[in-house]
Amino acid sequence: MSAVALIALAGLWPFASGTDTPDPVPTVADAVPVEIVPGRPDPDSDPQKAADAYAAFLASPAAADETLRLTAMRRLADLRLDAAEAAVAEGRPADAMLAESVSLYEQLLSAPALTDAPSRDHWLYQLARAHAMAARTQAAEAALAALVNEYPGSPMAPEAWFRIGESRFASSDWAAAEEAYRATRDASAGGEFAEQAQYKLGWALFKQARHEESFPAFAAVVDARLAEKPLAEQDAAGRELVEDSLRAMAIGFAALDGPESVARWLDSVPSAAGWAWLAWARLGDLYRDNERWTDAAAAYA
Amino acid sequence: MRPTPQLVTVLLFCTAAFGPAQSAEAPSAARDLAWGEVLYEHFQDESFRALVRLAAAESRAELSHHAEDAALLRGGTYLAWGLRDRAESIFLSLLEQGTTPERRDQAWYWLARIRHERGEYADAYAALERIGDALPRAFDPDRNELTGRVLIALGRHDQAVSRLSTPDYPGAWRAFADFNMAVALSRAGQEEEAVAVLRRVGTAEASTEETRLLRDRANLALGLAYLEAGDPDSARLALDRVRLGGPFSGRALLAAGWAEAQRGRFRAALGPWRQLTATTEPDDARLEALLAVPWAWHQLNARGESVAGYEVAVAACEAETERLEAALAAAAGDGLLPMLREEDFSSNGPLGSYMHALAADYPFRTAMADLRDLDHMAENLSHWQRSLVAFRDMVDARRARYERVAPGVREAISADRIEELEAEYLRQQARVRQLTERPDPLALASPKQRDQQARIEAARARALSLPESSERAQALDRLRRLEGALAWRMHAAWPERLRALQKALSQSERLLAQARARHESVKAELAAAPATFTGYSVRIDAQADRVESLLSRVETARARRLGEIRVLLLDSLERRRQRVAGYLGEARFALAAAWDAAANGPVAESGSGAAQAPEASP
Repeated sequence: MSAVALIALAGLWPFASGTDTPDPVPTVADAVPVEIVPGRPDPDSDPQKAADAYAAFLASPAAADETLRLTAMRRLADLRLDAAEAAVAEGRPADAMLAESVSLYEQLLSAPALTDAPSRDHWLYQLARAHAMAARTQAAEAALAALVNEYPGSPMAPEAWFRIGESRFASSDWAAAEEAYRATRDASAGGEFAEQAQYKLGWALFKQARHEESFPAFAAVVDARLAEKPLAEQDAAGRELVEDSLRAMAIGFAALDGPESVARWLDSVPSAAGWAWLAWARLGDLYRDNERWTDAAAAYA
Repeated sequence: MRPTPQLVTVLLFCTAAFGPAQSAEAPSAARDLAWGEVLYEHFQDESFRALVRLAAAESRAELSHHAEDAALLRGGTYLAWGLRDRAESIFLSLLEQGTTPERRDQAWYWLARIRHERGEYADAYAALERIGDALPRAFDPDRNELTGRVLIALGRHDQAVSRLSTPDYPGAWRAFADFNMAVALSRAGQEEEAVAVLRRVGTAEASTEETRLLRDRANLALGLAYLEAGDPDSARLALDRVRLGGPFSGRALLAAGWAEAQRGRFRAALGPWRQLTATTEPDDARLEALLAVPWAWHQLNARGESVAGYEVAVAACEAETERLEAALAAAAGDGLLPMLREEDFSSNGPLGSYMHALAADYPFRTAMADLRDLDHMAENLSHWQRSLVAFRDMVDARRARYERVAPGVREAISADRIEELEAEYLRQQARVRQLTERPDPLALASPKQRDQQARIEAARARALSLPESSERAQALDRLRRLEGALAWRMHAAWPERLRALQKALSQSERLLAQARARHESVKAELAAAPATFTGYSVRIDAQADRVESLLSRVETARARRLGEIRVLLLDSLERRRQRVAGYLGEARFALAAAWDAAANGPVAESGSGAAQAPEASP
């Protein structure tokens, strides 16, 4: 506020007459600071109380300030979703909280004032999360699809693609899942979801019996893992991941030309030299388990 | 600004230089008695009576020397009552008729005021330009002030500054002119100069309540300006000069707290803010302070105090909202008029404190003054209405009495034989005149003497009938002597008897004249009596109709004014409700944010998906 506005606020002084009265002495200068010592302890950490306070704010006609209202909406939505997640984990009902959360995220996403908000990808992600917790998979996938379509560069895009892939995979839509996993892999090069995307991409191709195409995906997982440390030193998850990949590859080799397929494929992948024996071994194991002794002997050989 | 009746009085009759606090001086001598009576009523603050007396005097042509003064007074009074159109027509009429230069300049001055009040600033300025050199000196400060405000309204700030910086402001007028000059300077973008002028007003001696208010206002404006400029030290110095308990203390305390906060002294900010929150006044500054206190606690990392403070703020805003709902219902209800008539606003239930605050608002004050004037008019008209009923009863009583008494009076008049008595008087008058001219003692003889005279004459007649003899001669002689003795006695008594007769005649004349006068008077009264009731009924009925019509117009005007006041009141309350709703929203949000921060930490949201709370602030 400028001085102009301030004086205008003070207004023009209307001339009038008055009578003499004694000058009262106390002024603002006499409003001396009182001895102020905080006596109340810090409030307990209570997300429920915070959520209820935001809800009270939003339910009242006082929520006229759009900035505050939208902030309260997003905070309430996040807090309700967190509470719902905790409730689900504890086996308590969470439908009401999830419904409120979904409603709030949808309002935020449709608010004209927020069409360019930087957090829209986050709200789409949270909306998908809420739908997923409520077992509304299609709605969840739709929210994730909106996220990756509207915000392909979002940090949450790889996870969103991956979750889309998982959803499609779960519904046996292998080709669509393949597409999502490829998108995850491309968006998350070296990132959190890169390995899982490769692994699931392999499986999506495997499910389509496109074994030769699945081998590079599985091989990339095995390659990366074993480049870090030998199989024996992998943790359980790592070992399982490598073993599953090798087993899937073995099934693929078996479905093709068996040992010849292995030889042909390994020849084209120089990086696999270090763990090629594992591929042969897992193929042998497969034959052995299927009592195809001759083939097993060939593989082991 | 609508002029008060006092201001009208001051400017109409003041003959010497005066300041804001100067009272009206007595006017020059009245050359018409009726004008003196009008002035007497006016100076008793009985403007309505003054106008009634003025109208009566004009209808009787009793203002031969003060007809134009009367026009100025009437116009000024109408203006004081807010009847701008009527006032304007009076002043324009005065100008059209032509008048003395002094009165002409006064008329232009009042026209300028009227146009300024209407927001017709260009016309107001044109009227001010028409004022010549004959305007009484007493008008100068007010004229300059008006010119300054008109120029500011026209956006001609440099000219306004020039006008307001002239030395033509005696006494306390200087401070007022300076304040308005600061307004003009700031609107002209000369903020440094405006601040300098405000500093001068804010540090000047103030001898009246009005100038102290002005000083407070200047210091508040100054403090806010310094705060805006990021100079909290200077802001605090200016704000410290604002009196506690005055109408600007709330905002000054609030701003003083912000000055401390701007210095990073949040604990010091709590001083003025907590002093402000300790009051019970339902003003915005207090509610803002209720929000500012927990904010300061938050800055001091005292989260428990902060949450408690926001809870107090929420409760206060909710309570204020409830009070406002009740006040809005009261303002919209039928009970508003009786509340407005209460002398003490604080006794007006849910509206009390809000009306008290609104009373400082000019449009509301004006409408309230009009309502009181209309009440006064209605009271006068009702009094006249009752008087007309009494007049009608009086006339009816007269007629009835006349009809009862007149026949008897007529009979008594016709039976009073006054003409006969006057004729007898004239006869007696002629007789006395004759006796005076030709004395006749026998005519005034006593009955005994008359008897004696008759007996003498009878005896002489008998004696004369006797034959001539000595006895006859002796008898006649004796009778002659007796008659002579009797004549002697009658002659001796004559003057006395004539005077007595003349005196009696004179007395009769007086009595007769009195009787005639009474006779004529009774006759005249009898003849005039019907005039004391004939025709009055028609006139009374006409006046009753007129009073009824005027009462109806007053009622209409009163209903209109009440409607205007209701709108102002509802508008003010609604605006306050919205402001309080805003405060309530901030308080509720801040409370939620404080709980959120306690649970999740004071961080702002990002897109990472982590739970993050906004920082609480007012």
